[in-house]
Amino acid sequence: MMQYSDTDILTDLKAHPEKALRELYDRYYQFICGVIFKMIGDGAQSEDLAQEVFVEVWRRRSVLDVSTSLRGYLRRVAVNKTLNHLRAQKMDFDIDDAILEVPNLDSSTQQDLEAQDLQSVINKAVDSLPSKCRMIFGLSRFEQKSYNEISQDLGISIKTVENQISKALKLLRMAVLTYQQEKN
Amino acid sequence: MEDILAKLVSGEATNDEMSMAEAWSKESLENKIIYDDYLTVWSATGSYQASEFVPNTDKAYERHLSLLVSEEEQAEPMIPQKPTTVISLGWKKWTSIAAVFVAALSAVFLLRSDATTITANEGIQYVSLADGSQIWLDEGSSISYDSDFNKNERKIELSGKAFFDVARNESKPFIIEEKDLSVSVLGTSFTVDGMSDRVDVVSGKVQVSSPTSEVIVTKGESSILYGEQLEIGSVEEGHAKWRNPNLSFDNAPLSQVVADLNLFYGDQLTLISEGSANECAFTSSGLVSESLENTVKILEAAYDVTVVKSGDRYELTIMDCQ
Repeated sequence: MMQYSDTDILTDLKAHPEKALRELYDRYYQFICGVIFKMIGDGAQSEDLAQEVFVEVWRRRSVLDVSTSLRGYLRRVAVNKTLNHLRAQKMDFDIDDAILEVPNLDSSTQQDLEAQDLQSVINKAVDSLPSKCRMIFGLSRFEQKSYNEISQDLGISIKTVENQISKALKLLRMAVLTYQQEKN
Repeated sequence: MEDILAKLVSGEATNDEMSMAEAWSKESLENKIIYDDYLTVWSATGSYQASEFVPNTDKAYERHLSLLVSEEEQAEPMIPQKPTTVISLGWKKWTSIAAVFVAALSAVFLLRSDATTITANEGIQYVSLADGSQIWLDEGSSISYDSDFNKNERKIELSGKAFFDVARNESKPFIIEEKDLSVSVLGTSFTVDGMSDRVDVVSGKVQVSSPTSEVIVTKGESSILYGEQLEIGSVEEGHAKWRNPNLSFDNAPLSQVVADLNLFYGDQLTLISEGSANECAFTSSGLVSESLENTVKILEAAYDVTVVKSGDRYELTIMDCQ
């Protein structure tokens, strides 16, 4: 099969839409879901927002610049849609949405514990972060936004951003400590 | 200390905080372990993989197709129409335009042979130009200009984000070239954010052009490049405070100090000084918590300055740096 590049997708979106659309999904849907999930931690919601991204890109297909990086463009649209979504929910980020909980590792079987390495503990711990905490942490860690940017994007104070990220790291660290203790 | 460690690993700690954290880590083995833990955790989250989330591409594609079928009846616009969605991105009057920040790719900075390039390596960098214009460069951003800047025109190349306060000169257009945008002004103040392809105008009027589109943006408005289309919205008052949110100054020239203070205190300060006195260096940490009155007192103590107060306005006349 002939090499089918991103530029081809963009060109084809105008001329041969169905083929290009399928290719677009195959190539980038999972990636975009991942980007969004890292920010909000909700699978179903991530897929909904991801779908909106693709629908919007589809709508704009006739004006997309073929020299743009498609991956980068999709990513930016996804991040901004997610931010819009977060802001629309008018979440009160100042209210603590959970007691400082440690992800429950005792529920794992002995086998699981042995099989787990640091990375999977961290993965689980990030998944278990309280939702608002996780969103802010995600924006900082995965989207590399500064505290200032996050505070502006979400309409919250920088202090709140600081608190939430500090909290996230505390929780993550505690999960690691618990794992290390249980291992020994 | 844990709060500072959090800021440290996320790259938001000030130099003071970084030194404090390092010193603390050396105080005991326990501290060192905690310090290292923070670094490890931050780095490990870099390889984070969502454990149980498996998106279903086929289903999503099918759903998209069915969406298209149901839209078949409506005429599918070839040019993006403005859907009626209200965006709450902190823009008060932003209605009926679905705009998204499209961040520009990091620009390749072309250096011409006798060009001056200034990069804000650490923190926000203030620059004052030969024509009296002032620029605040966001960290990591750069500007570049030729030796014939201010001859027939005033041309600046920008990579990243900066706030411009352009001195009025109708015979010499001030032009800012950024990777995706070109901004041309007579005399105004505004932010150009190359990362989001966004231009926010505080005062005056600017013309923003992209390769295929052109708009005029006036005071209180903002333009973003969305795909190939420039769209207009409004910008919140005081947005320009990003250029010195704490009002801290590190050997900052007096011209910058007064400009930044005026941003927070509603233009109540006027500076009258002889040429070189404009550049007198001033250092101070977060003045944002001080009243204007106290701040003026601090300035009086730092310089050989005369202060004339009329109503709530202060006129500072400075003869010399102390």
